[in-house]
Amino acid sequence: MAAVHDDELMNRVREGDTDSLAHLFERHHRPLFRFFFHLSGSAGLAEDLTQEVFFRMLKFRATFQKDARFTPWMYQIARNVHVDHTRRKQNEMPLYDDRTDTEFEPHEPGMSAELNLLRASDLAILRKALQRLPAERRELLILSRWQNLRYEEIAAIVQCEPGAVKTRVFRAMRQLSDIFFRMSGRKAS
Amino acid sequence: MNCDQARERMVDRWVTGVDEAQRIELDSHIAACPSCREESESLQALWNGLGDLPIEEPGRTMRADFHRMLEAYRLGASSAGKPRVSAWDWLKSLWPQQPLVQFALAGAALVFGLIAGHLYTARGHDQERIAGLTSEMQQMRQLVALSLLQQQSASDRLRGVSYSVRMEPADEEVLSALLSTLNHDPNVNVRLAAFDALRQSASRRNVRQGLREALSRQDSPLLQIALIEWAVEANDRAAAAALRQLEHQPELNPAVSVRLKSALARLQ
Repeated sequence: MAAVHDDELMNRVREGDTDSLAHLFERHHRPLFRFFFHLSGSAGLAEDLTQEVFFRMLKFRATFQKDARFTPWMYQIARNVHVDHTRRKQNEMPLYDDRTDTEFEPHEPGMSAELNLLRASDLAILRKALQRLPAERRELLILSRWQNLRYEEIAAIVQCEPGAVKTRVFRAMRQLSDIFFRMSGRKAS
Repeated sequence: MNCDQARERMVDRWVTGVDEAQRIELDSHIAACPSCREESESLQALWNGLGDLPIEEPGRTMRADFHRMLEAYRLGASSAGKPRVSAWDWLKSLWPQQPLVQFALAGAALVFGLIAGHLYTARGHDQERIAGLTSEMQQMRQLVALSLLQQQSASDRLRGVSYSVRMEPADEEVLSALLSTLNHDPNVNVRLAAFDALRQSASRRNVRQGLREALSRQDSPLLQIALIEWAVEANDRAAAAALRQLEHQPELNPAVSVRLKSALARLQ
């Protein structure tokens, strides 16, 4: 089954061969879980949302066009699942823990950025900084950093031109850097 | 290379990697431009840091949950796809056409009736016990379905819905819990599964009424479309009022709007 392309497997699911969805699950549940994990910061929620994506693939398999690409289609479903979830849980902000920015002990105020190797405490702050990034930018960083996708695929998922992906990723990184340095109490330059 | 081009090349270096010529070109710009150098160093470190963030693995039950969901979906799809046959047609299909076989069958039925009557009087007590056990089993199933529908995990609630589908005939309390799930569950897929389960009992008046009321309560386009399609398929003219109410919902999805108009035209 490894030789069969994802697009072909999804076409088979659309024709009613639901066994093919099990193969797609084996290939994609981990990347999807990681996508939701970085997006939400909660492993339990990531599992539930990943299950939802596969349920919707099954339920709305007829919407997969014959010549469509599977990966962007799957991530579009994943984005919708996440949007639906956040709409319902607008008052909840899923975080790794519920401390606020002010509770972070700032590092030495005048310390310059020597970040070639981030320390463990920096990683904890970076994780929180990522959660504080606006959802669209967080999503874009996750797609480009962890999901092993090409610019064209990312562009198809977030619905922009492939050339615009680079600019958006750079802006997202810059904003992440601002949040990170604000939270860590250090100067970016 | 100007600063804008250098920024794009930095992103290339992070995401896809760059070839030797591109790396040399970028590095020579960075060496000559202090602001790009500072930005490149700090952002590169953050990008590396993102890669060092710990990643959890999905739980062991996730695969089993997926296969359970797949099985529940197949079960729902197969029972939904069966054509409805009336009881009279079904009885007629069982009755043999040849007179000789008909006569033999009538004789066999008479003998069977005599034996069964005899056994019934002798084993009445056993039958009471069987009926009691069946009732207990039904209550147990009801309890499990209701309990699963209350769980925090969407997968568990989904399981609760698929469990409730197996109850024949569907229990009133379970149907009421499914209607509550359809209207209030935070997870749209659980609500969709509850709708599929309820659809099988849509011949009941209270379920039909519940589905009509759910029309105006749903904000998910998927459910709105599913409910609209049900109303049209069932030719439920009483649902027209609820459909008109839905028509006035603010920010109605355009796809829903199109189906709604078509449904209203068919139901009038």
